[in-house]
Amino acid sequence: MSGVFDAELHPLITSRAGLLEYVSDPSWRQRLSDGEFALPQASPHPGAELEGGAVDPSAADPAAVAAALGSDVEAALLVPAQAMATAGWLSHTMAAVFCSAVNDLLIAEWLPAEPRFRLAIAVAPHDGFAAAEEIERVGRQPAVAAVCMPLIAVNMGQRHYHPIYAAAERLGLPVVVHPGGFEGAVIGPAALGGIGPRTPEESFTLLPQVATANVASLIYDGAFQQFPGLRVVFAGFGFSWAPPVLWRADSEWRGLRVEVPWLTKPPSEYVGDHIRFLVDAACELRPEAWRVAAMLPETSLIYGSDLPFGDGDAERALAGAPAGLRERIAAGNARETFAAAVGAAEAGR
Amino acid sequence: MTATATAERHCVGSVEEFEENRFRVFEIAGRPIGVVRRGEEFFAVRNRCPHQGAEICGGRVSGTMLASSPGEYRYSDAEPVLACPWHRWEFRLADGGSVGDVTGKRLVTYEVEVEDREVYVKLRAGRAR
Amino acid sequence: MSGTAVTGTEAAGSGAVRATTIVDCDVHPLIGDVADLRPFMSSRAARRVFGQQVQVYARDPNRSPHPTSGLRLDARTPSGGAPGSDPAFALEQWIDRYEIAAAILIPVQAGIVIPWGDEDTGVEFLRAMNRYFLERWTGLDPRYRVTISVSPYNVPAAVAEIERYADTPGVAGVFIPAAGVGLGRSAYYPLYEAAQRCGMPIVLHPTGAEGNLAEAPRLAGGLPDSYPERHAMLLQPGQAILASMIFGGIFERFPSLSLVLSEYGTTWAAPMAWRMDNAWEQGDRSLAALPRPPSEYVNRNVRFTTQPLDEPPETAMLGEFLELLDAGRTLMFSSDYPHWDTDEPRYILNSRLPAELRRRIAVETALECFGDRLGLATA
Repeated sequence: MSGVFDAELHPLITSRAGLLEYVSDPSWRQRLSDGEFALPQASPHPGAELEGGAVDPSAADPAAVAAALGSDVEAALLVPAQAMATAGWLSHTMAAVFCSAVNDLLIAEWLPAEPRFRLAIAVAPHDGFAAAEEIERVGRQPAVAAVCMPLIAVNMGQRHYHPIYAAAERLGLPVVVHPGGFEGAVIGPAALGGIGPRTPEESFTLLPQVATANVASLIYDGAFQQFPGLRVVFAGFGFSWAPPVLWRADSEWRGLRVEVPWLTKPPSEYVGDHIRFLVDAACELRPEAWRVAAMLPETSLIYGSDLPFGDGDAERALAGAPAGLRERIAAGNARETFAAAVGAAEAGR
Repeated sequence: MTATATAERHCVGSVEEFEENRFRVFEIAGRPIGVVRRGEEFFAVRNRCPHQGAEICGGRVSGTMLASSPGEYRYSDAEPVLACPWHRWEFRLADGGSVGDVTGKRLVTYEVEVEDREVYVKLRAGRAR
Repeated sequence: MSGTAVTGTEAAGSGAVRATTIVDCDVHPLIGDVADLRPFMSSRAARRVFGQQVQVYARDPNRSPHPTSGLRLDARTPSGGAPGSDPAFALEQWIDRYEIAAAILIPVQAGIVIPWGDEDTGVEFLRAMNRYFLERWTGLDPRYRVTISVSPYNVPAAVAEIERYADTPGVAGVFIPAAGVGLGRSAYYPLYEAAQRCGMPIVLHPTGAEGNLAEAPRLAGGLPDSYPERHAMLLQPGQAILASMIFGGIFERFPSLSLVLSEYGTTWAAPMAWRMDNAWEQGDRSLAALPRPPSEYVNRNVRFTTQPLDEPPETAMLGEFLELLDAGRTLMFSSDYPHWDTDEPRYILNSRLPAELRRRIAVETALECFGDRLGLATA
């Protein structure tokens, strides 16, 4: 491959004590240390049981992860998957404190280890104002390229998120959303459709519904008109489900325009400028899925290794991609999507 | 309902026979055409939605929501609109254009003339069926 | 798939559908006034239902109001009744007009029992509905084929109802309003055994309770805050039911059981089948109940009705998906008469679907699925 921008590399944190050192408020540090607080599990995917096998502990070692980066990798976006588990937590403040500590750990210990590392700073979605403060606090660092957050049972188009979008837009940061592992199982995170109890295969199968619901919400609620610079990246949800969802959204709009009269074009036409889908280990990468990829705007798909949960072989992952799209998916779309970060601009990157 | 035809225009009744916002449908030169009154204005359209062929004159005549900011609604009845009784696709009565450009298809419209309180629909000369 | 050669113009709505019979696999009969069920109920059940002893949650129009109406504006009955409440008018407006040879009636009002803690009353209420529709609709015209409704909370009663109607002319299948337990779970095995044994397809359809009532299946994410957002998500409970039944091994256990997913959409089924196959491949196969990949069960046992048919920006995209869906095998035409988002038969069958799929989708797949239950004279 001529160049790969890996938009989904999961840095693992395995030391509870090590993380707690980054909790800046000493009283919170005391609370978390004394109590039942535990580091979230390594893999945040519903249906992770299907993947089998333990995660290599070197995934928690920034130097090892850096050394293992292919020579063709021009950049790797660190997406702290464990912060995605906060979607299931009841305490809004604890979720925010945890995300801040994760961000500070990654800034202190991971970014210096590799100039190709970029960071998606984690925010907790429960409290939009606290999340916006966190974005302002750490979002201008040169290597910060995105915001990431898990999904709760409040759809993304709603005003709840406006402080987050305002801050992200102001700092030129796309918002990456990623599963937290409890979708459909716990009350609080985004629900799955239907009703349980579910096998891991069912949960895995239905996970794209969470992205579907939020794509529709963002577009129909006019979030991209309120925040014209906002970009949302759906990581870990697949992509081949998307064209039918967009066609359905268009059909609804044609008959229900009076409900959403602020839309100035069909819903599907907001995708090209504002929405991206990751091509990663969660995807069903078979020839049929690549036929569907060609039905999306060419800016839509971005490669992510999903390390350490995927094998990091971009060439193999993209082997079936239409030739005209391969370079865009491997690097071009990511470069363009993550290029607007003001921190990077200020640092002359 | 058939209409009395002349060489270029077809009488569809007197002004008083038309209730506000209620279509009356006629067969004129083999075409199903609906005529509706809005105040002192009359509009005539082909009784066929360009989407799936529904009898669109069974739909609703009203104003509509103009473009606005997210969360905001701006109703206007400056331009009368016909919403199909099925999928509610909206077409301007004046020119048959799609409100909001939800489709490139147009509703076929016809000119209406009122003379001495009689209402006439004009079919375009040489128009293919 | 080879089909009948088609001649003549293909213009939408021009004349009859070319060279084929039509089976409409989704028509909604409505009981205009639930009090009309009284004659079909025991006095005990009538006292419970009409004596305020059960909570009848009429759909709250304010929770998610359609900007005009969720029904066709031109389908009110001659006496001013709600669309779908007059079987004679529906014959004239829909069945006769489009020369529909058989219409599968799906009474979504059966969802009324979803929040009822009084299970016996729910069972009796649905029994009354079944008798009502057979008498008032099929009794009026045999083109009306009823799906009998059964309570999701009482499987022995459902089995008894299936067996009661196994040989009744006019009964097309069994409708289960989906409620609090996934339909792939073992609780429903006796129901599926009876349906398979009696040759009755399971017909599933949104009730409107999804994402609204606490006991009904959820929509994904959070709560939608507009009508189009909610309406577009109604296919999700159908996806969940399919995943539940596939991975619950229902079609391995009951290999000749037919499942009809009605008004849940179609195109999502292809990407979902690939995803299910991925999950099946990644899991420990020695533990799984499925000897075959999920997509095989979908193709063999599951059928989808066409309405609402997708309208992609390019027709070729629909064609691609019809191929990916093996549409000639898995799709059956439906109109959803008299709802607002109905599909017109000529438009769909003449203009939107490739000619070679027309007969398959218009009638042949429905014949394979429902067989003699359609009451069609075999050609």
